[in-house]
Amino acid sequence: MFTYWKGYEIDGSSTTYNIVIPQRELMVEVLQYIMSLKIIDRNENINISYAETGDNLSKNVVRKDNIYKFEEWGKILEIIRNPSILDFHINIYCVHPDKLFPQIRKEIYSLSRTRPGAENKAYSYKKPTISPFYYAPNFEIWIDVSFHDHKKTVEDYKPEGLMFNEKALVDNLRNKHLTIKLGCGPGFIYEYAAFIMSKIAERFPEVGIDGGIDCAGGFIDGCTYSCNLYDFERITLTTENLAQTIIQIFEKLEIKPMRRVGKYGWEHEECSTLVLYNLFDVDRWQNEYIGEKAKIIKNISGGKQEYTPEEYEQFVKKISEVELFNSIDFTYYCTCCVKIKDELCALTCIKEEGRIWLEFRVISEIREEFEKELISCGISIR
Amino acid sequence: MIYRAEPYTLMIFNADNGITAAISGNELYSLKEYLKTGIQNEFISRLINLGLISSDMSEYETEKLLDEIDRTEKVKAPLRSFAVPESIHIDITAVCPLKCTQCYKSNSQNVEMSFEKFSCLIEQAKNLGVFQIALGGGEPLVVKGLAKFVKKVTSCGMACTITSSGYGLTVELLEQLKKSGVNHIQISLNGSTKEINSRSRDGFDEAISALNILAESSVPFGINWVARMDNVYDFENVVAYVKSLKADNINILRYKQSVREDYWKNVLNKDAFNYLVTTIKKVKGIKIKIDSAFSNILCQLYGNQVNSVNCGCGAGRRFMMIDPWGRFKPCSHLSLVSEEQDIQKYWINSPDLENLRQGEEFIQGDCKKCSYLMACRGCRAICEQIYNDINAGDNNCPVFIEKGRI
Repeated sequence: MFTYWKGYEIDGSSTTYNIVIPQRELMVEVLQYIMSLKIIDRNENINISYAETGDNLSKNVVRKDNIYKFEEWGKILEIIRNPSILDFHINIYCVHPDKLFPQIRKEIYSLSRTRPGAENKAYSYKKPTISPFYYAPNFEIWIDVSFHDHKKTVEDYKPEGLMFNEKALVDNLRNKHLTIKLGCGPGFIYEYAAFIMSKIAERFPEVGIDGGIDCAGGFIDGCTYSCNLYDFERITLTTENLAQTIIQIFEKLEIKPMRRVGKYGWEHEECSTLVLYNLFDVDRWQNEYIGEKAKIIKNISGGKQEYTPEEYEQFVKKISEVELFNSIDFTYYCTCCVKIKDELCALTCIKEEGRIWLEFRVISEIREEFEKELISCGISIR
Repeated sequence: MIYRAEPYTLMIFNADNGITAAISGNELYSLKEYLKTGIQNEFISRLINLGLISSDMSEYETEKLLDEIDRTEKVKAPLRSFAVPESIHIDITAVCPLKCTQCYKSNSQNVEMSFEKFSCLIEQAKNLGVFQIALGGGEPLVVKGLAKFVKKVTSCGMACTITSSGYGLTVELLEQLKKSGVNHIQISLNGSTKEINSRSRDGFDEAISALNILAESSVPFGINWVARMDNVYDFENVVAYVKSLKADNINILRYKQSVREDYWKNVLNKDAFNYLVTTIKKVKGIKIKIDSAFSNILCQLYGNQVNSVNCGCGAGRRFMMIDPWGRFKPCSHLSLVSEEQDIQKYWINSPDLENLRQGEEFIQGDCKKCSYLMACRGCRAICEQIYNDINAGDNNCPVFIEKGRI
């Protein structure tokens, strides 16, 4: 076990304690550490919701909500240190896998080996990426801490999911210390969750971690919607003439544009033009419910979803100039669905090194063959 | 850095940042592996970040630390205590030019600890692995050559703090103390105005002058504020003042019986206590510290989250005291005096300390019936003064909750 305290001894007053007890300082340290992890997105705001007792010692509880910029993180720590805080809930966001620093990306992907029933083929992937289609990813995590909920005891405790520092976990329950709950949505990434927990576990051996279980009874792996780092492989083309290249590929290779059909767009059918996949129901987006970014894309598209290659190129260039869109937003809005060798794949664009690149996202099984076909018809691959 | 073996636990203290750590079990094994192989995991990075180990230890330092880790399997400690004191409070003088009505000591006596005696004690402390020496008095700033006393402590790797009324602090003296490596200076102040302060303390102007000098320096400092009926509603003003000085902390002390005052007139009643707790909760932007005699404040604030590790009196368990005559005591406020001259023998064999360590079994009155007995145990010195029994219950406690009710 490991514990520490900070402060100098002062004569005459016997030993002294900080009003912020070590458990809270430890929690602050854990939260600071989570925030320092390279997978946390520093461009996103942090939401905090907390309950505190009122100005007297009665049971009056006041609930407050605040939003802070990432760089204002210190203000949140000050709130947490306050002894009157009974519980709090924080929402933070992780970085899209395509935006990870290379070293972190390598570490994250290597965690796939710890995944129950991991796909062995994953390790031979060349440039894996998640699906750019709208129903796939969820990068939000939330942190719940309650300082007054001591209902859980060792006696009724049953370990679930992925466990770290089990002895510390039981010790903390036995001593009625606090627990920190890290939550994530069904579309979260297993490797991210494992990364965060294993990092915390290694750095804070005095903190017990129970990974919990998902709705399918496993640790994220079983969930229908969990985000897969290996959905597609990226094939990036060097061309700067997007429209002409698209026309050339569609003429020479076995590739068809697809559009979504049905009430919710779960089904697909072939069509003759490119269709912006993630703007499937843009004409039904209600201005009062959508965010600033969605309003902008709605205005730019004007409800139009089907594009000729030339129109698509114009659209891509137009949205590349919107400062509010980061590179992930850009790719998200540019994405079209295409069928390649009977498989649903994506045609999209990325912004890197100050320019726009045309990119295919294809399933692993057809990547090698499709690359060869592209090269054989004179397409240059990055 | 000081490394010290406790039973199955390695203690580490960094005098520069005041962090004390205890490492045991798998984490100790992890540290041992790092020392042997140099392989650094996240936990080791955290220890380095906290300043508890160095990333570039010499071979000699590494070997010494490994030996100390091995010693954790052999060393023994008294009941509920460290094997040796974590800190020692030393009153280096009984002389004080002020006449504070709340002072718990009898009239100023012309007694000062010689430097030779002090040096001998510090050598003992160093050899045992004591982490901190807290200097007090009397008024320590009137001791001639005080910087030499401080230097003696810091040169042995221990932290040195001074508690003072502020009387006699000058820019020159502070510069000497700073050069000697003083880690922290605490100034006593009981009110935001001279009128409020003078209800219990003398020397308001001297305290303010000292605080102003400290505020201009880089020496960390704070104030000791004794909570009393005649100043408790001034607490927020004191907080605002101390924050304006950019002090490190406010240390809230429980009022102890004075030879010149009626204890019951000045001790906080329940309403005043609750007011103080409520006000503490609102304080932001400065560290609040609590005298261990006020452990019931922590119980009130945190309930079951407090335990014997982060709460309760540490007299005889974590620290001891030495008076200007060189006599050993569990704390400044208890009358129990020993003529033993060997710190280790006193710590291991003293029946007074043994008695304090068995408080959980021996304490009577409300404390015995209280849910917080194991974490708090009240103030034994106050019980000794009021009931003439160190195991009496610290009755009339505003936080008392009968066992089984929480």
